[in-house]
Amino acid sequence: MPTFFHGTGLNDAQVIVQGQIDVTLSGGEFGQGFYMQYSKRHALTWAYRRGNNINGAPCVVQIVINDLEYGLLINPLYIDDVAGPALTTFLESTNQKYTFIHGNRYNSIEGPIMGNTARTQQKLEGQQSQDLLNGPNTTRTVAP
Amino acid sequence: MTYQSMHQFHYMTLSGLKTNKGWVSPAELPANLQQIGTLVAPVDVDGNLFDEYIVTFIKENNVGNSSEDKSLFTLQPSGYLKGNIGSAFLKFGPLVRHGKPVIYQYVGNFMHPDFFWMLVELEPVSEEQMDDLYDREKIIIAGCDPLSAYTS
Repeated sequence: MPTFFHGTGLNDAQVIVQGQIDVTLSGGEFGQGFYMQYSKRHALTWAYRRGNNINGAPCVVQIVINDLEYGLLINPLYIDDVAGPALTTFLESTNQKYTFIHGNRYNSIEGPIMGNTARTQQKLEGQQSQDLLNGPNTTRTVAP
Repeated sequence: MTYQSMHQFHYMTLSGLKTNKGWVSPAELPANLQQIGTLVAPVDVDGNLFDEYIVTFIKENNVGNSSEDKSLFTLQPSGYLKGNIGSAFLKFGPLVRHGKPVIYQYVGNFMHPDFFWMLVELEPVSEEQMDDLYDREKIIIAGCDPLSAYTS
């Protein structure tokens, strides 16, 4: 099953675990959405180096999504090490890092972290993605 | 020579437009910006790695309970930085993308002696070895703690 990790503070992690993810609250390299990655280690490093900008002790939330539901509901746009940084530059120049969503055909963007294809991140956007993340077909746990 | 006077690994993320693009610490980004970081290290005016670096690592016992320690990494004739953390000998080298190392200035608001130099993005020779170190010993290589190592 698709398994992702999200680095954050423990207080926010507990909100996530309770199924209260709001995909409109955050931004990133690919615009507005909820960001996850495949590496628990990288997600945890991010949480530890956020300084005072996380809510509680650094931790990682593990998010496991049912295969069938993921396949039915999530349609990712895959971008490479050229398109990824280009999108980020565009969003910064147009001040859309917190507002851009692809919409229409795709409800997820998967691409390199800062152009590094050795590490990928996935951004889920839109109501359908949010419902899946918070719903019964997704398991959300604070990773030990 | 003390830890404070030696070059260090840092954990940074890229920010800014083409004209002033550079590294910033995740600790100075807005709380709702989920932009992942990477390890970087200062390089000399010719873009070469220095001979020695201090590398900060975190050993996590459980959530809210961790300890930090440091290790010395030295430049090898091969061009890689090598050091011992936990039970592993790790190697890092400059990340090369599209034929060039990824080098930017620090453009944030913190202060640290390393920020007078350009900073090159690093990559481990083996991501799997880093994963193994975390899986077996709960150790992550995190670079300087921004709260204790940087001034504003």
